[in-house]
Amino acid sequence: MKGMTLGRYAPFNTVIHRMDPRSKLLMLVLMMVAVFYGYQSQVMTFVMGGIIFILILTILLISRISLKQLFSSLKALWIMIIILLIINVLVPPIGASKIALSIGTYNIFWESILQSAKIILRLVMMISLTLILTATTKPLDLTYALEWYMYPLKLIKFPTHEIAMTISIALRFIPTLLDETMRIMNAQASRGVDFEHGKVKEKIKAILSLIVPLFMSAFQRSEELANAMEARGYNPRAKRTRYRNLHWGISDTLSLIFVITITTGVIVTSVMNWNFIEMIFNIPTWVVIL
Amino acid sequence: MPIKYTDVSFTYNDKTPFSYEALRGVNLEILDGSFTAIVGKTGCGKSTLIQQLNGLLIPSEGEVAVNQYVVSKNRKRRTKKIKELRKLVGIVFQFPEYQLFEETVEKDVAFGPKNFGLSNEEALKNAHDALRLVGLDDTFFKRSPFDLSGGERRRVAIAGILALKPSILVLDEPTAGLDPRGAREMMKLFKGLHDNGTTVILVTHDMNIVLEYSDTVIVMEDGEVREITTPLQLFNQENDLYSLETPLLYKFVKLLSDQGLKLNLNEIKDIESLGAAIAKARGNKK
Repeated sequence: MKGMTLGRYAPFNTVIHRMDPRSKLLMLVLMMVAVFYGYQSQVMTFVMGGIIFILILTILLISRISLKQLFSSLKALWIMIIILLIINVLVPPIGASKIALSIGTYNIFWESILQSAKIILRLVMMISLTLILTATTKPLDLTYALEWYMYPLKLIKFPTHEIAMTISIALRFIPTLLDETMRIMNAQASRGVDFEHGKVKEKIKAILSLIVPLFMSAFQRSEELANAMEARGYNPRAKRTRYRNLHWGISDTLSLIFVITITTGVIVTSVMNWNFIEMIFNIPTWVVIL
Repeated sequence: MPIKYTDVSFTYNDKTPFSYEALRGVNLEILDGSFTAIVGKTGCGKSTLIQQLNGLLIPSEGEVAVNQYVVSKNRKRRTKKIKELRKLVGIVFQFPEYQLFEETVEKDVAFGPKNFGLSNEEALKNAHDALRLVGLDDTFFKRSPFDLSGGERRRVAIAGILALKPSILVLDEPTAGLDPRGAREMMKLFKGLHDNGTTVILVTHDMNIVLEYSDTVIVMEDGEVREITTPLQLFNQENDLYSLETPLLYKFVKLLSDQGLKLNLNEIKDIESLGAAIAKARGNKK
């Protein structure tokens, strides 16, 4: 269950925590664009990627997310990284020519390795960005922000409020269900269930002894919640006011401008094919072609 | 010495922003064949304390020994036979009725014994014995646990632990949410098991139960053990130190003896024994 705390909201009071969830959400999208933009030369990809990565790490430190937390959320990626390496090695990119290693008649190309490294770098950045958002924003605030962005959809009778309500209820019940899972696991472990070891048949039985009670209690909870909401006169179509309002502050405007500048810079660099590394250092052409 | 806690501390979510210290330096011993009640406010660490007894939680510091089995962080000292420990110590959690999952009552109760390596027939036999013990007759065996009432489901869940024939039975508020009669029957059942040699550890908020059934009380507060005493000594304290509700029966007996009636407080556990004691004090012999 330890892994379940990953990306969980950590109640600190940093600049990032205090920012408006709407600006944070928008900035996440913009930063993702910047992360995934491609360049024509490999060197540029890594230099630009490196710059953005350093920026992300700085934000990570400002929002008081420990690097340990980041590494533990990357743990799950190991399998993906290995699979990526294998695929890239087996299926070299078109035009690969620089041999890094020869095993018998089989060649491993530098291009393959670089390609995998590029994807891994991007994945790491993507996960860090999401981690920043979820660790510094309360899930409920995030839902409010989503609802705010969906506002225009109301014009075409899209049920934005219902969707936001569904999301916030789902988010609200994640910890509750996790607690419930722990409780049932403990109870079944006391009856001799071993959730970690055992044959496949025993494992299926073990999982079943967890899932059935969990579903039963989830259904019961949902019914109780629906009753409680109706008893208090909940009507999804009613006009609602809110206890917590979102506040757009000066720090939101400033950081949004900053992020827009970066993303624009990335797009311009990429579209104009502007290779500043080559200009500054005058690197021999064969490296650039890489 | 069947159960011994040595300097046990426990922290949830250690080394994260969510860390919470639930137990602090707990030292205690629970004797074989005792009926021990653990009392204290909600959130004082009672449930954390009992979960260390069968290795569901491992102490962050210190160790818990149950007979020859040791639960500890220390890899060298801690027992490898956690399953044997779980067979020895049966824990009934709060609201255990939510752990049922099988198609029939008897299958659900037999699930535990089968996990501990009993054959199907033996497990079913144990299950039937346990079900009769909790007061559910043969007509219930083939029914679905989800068709039963809340109280009946609670009985099935408790039978699921009793079918393991544990020599230490740990109960976390087994009577919560039961009607008074059901609660009384449940407690009688546990008393019967205790009389047959089972060590019973009971977490409860009901001081009437503490007075009537237990011989030892462990009082907990803020993750620490404040007192290990007998029910009489606990309720005899003038000021209500731990904001525990003194049982009505005990208040009454105390008033009677303050008024000059010579009563032996040790003998009075319930209404019947109170009646007998009053009759004895007044010299009326049937």
